[in-house]
Amino acid sequence: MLSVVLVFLFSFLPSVHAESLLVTVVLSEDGGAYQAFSDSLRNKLQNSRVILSSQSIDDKPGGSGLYIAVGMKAATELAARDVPTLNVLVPKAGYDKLLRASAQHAKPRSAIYLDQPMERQVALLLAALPGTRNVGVLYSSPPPELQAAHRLFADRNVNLHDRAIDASQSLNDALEIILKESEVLFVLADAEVYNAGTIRNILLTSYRKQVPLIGISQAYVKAGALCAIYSTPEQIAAQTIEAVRQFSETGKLPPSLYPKEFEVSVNTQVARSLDIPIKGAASLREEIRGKP
Amino acid sequence: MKRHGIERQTLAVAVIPILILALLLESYFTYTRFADLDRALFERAKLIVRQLASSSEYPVFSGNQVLLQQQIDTAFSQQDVNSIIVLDADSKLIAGAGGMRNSGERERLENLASKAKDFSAFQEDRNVLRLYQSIVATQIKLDELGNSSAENAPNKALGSVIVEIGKGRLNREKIEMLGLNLFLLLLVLMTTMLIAMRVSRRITRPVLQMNNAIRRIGEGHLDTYIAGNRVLELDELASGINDMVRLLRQDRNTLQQRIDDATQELRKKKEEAEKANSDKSRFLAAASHDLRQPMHALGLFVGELHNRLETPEQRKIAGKVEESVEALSSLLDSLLDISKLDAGIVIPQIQGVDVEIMIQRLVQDFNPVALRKNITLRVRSLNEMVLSDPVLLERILLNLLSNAIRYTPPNGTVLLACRRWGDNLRIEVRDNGIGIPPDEQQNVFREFVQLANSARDRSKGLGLGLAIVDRLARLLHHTLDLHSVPNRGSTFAVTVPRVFGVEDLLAEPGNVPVAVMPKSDRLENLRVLVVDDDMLVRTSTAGILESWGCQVSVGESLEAVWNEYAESHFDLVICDYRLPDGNGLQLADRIKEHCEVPPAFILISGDTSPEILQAVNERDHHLLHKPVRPAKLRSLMLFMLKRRDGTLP
Repeated sequence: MLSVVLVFLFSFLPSVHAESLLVTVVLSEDGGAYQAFSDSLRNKLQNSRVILSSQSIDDKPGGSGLYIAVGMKAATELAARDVPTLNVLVPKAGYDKLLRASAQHAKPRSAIYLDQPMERQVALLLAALPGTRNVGVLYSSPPPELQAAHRLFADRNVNLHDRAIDASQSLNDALEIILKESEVLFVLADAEVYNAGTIRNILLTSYRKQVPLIGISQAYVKAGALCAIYSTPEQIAAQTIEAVRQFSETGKLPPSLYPKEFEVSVNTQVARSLDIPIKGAASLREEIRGKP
Repeated sequence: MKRHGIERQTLAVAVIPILILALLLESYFTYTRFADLDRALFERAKLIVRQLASSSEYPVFSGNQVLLQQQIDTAFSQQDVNSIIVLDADSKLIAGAGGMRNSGERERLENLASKAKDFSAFQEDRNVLRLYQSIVATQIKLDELGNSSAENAPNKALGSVIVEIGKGRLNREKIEMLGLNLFLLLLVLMTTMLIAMRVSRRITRPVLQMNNAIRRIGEGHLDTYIAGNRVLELDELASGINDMVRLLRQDRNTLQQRIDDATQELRKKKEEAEKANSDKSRFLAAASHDLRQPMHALGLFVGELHNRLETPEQRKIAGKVEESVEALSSLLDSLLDISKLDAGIVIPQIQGVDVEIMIQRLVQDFNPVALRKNITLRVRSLNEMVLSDPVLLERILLNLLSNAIRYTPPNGTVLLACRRWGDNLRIEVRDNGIGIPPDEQQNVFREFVQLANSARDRSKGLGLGLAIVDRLARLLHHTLDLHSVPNRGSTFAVTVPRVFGVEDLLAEPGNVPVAVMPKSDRLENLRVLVVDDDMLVRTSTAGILESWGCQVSVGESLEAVWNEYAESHFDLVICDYRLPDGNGLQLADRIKEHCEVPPAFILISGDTSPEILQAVNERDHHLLHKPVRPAKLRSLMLFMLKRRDGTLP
């Protein structure tokens, strides 16, 4: 496992008297979003006294007050140790699974999830496609948030059609069926269904049926999803700094949370191709933000 | 070593490098071009299969048969595509075009492709190229934020595309190209050969011309001229040959001139030699004639003298004189014989000859001589008839015998022997005398050659005997052999054809003067006319005739005889052939005309010309050559009288 350990010394001004906190950032791997997060974190801490060092994840930096695990790999690794850990860029389902699997910890542990709360996602869908009555969901095994989704859509008078892919039903067959019933395909994170190899064909199939797809990250939008709601590494870094500050002041971490800030991304080309009138990304974001 | 002409060698020099170069270039370019073609086809096929794999990704994913078929048809419509099949992930045929059904090949390709990085494989044979390409979903990365489970999703193949590309067009193109290349190669070769042949002809033709010219020169046509040539070296060669010919011509002319001169010289020499020879013959003939006149007279005088002498002393001297005259006379006879034989006027009278009689006679003649020398003369005779001239054959044997006796010392033996030798008779004269050395055996037949007589003792002969024998044998076509060992003796043999049966009867020994002279003297009172212009001869002849008891009248010319003895009768006329106003024959003719009983006629001549002999023979006269020995004259006269009296036929 490639891990990069960044050690930060946090010293928040102006509390001069306050003791400096040694923070170790453990990346699941170099590059990509993890690196972006780490860079952003460092940028935001420019005015603080930062002690930065690279070290192996297996080393035990003495005196480190807080570990920040970036990504599932780092989180899994650190979960085995009884150290104060803040997990970031981890999906809620994965983190919950990790918590259930590992033993109770004496040291504080918390997380800032990668994914958006279901409410926010539903809000985006409705904001982008206000008149939607039928929404399709595909999965390999029922995801934890499915219940919440059902409830939320039901509250808003929207039918949620869900369908599982199994041995008897291929992805395409399931897709064909779900696309017949739905006006929009709503993505719930499921690597079995949505992955690099399948996404193109899923998109192609859905658009042939004039069914737009709502994604869960900017990559989806780039691949051809109509729109997506997500948090950037910078936004999460900012929230991380808040959590670290709180930890340094109180010695406690905030509870595990979804990201506070988010971004909306719209693929106007897709919208135009499918002849869908859609609002701008900014206005959608504002609209969602306005709703609690 | 095999030989080749210039033309072939030039051809080889020109063609072989060109051929090698052309073949190398052709094969290189053909090979690269073929490789290019193969590569191009392969690239195109790869492109087609990739394109199809890519474009059929969605139809295969979505199970859209119509769309898939469209894609396949689009690909299938491309050139060279034989057939296409699209399989799903379980290798089940979804759609296809063309007629590929070879599942074995398919499996092999799949196996190959599963090992390959880009899920493709190909397989080809002479006629087709098959490409396999997995249909793999286009990869679009979704989770930048490390949703690790997404990355674990297997990169599963949706299916596969197999395209079969026909190589028919490619192979045709290759064959066409190969054909064109070979045609070009051939064209280049032909052109090269043509040029090489033209060039070599420009050399070989003049060389052949020169060769012909040289052959003509060799045959002697020195007027041959070789025209100039465009090729420098050949031109020099031609002019060299021309110079050579000119020199040869000059040399030949010079040589010819010399030969002509030499020939002229030789002809002159030959003429001179011939003239000398005929001069010699004429001299001999004339000398014989002129010597004969006095010799003739001398003999007759001595004969008469002998008759008239009374004392034995005188008779003895006269006998010596007679002997000397005899020797002189025989020398003259021999000389005359030789000259006659050389002059070619002796014509052999071939007839049957009784050898036994001839030998008896010879022995009779030689016995006294042999006795005198105390030499045993032995004879082995055979009763045989041979075909020859009796006189000439006898002369041969006589000479041989006389020769043998002369060269055999006292107490020696001379053998005269005959033996049958097939159809011939071989008559040998053998002695045990001094013999003849081998290197002298040819010389003994030349005139005046006498071995062991350097002092030229006349009693040993003149050295003409064997020369005469040789000439006679040649004249008679009788083979003459000589076998001799010095100090042991010599054998001379003459081979004469025998006469058998009927020829014996036909043989006419008539003309042979074989009559034995009768002892009775019947010449008395014989009326004889002697005509000779030479007074000495006239008187000597008259003298001897008178001593024999004849009544002799003399005359010196035709006219004189005519005037004096027109009315007289003679039994015998002895006449010199050559007379001052005519010849003896004219006289004989006239006497014959005027007399009822013409007298017998003896012509005496010093000439040996055949015309005279012929003329005399025609008239049945007798011819004696000077000098005439008295004994001979007498025996002839007796013979003629006998014939006239009818005692002889």
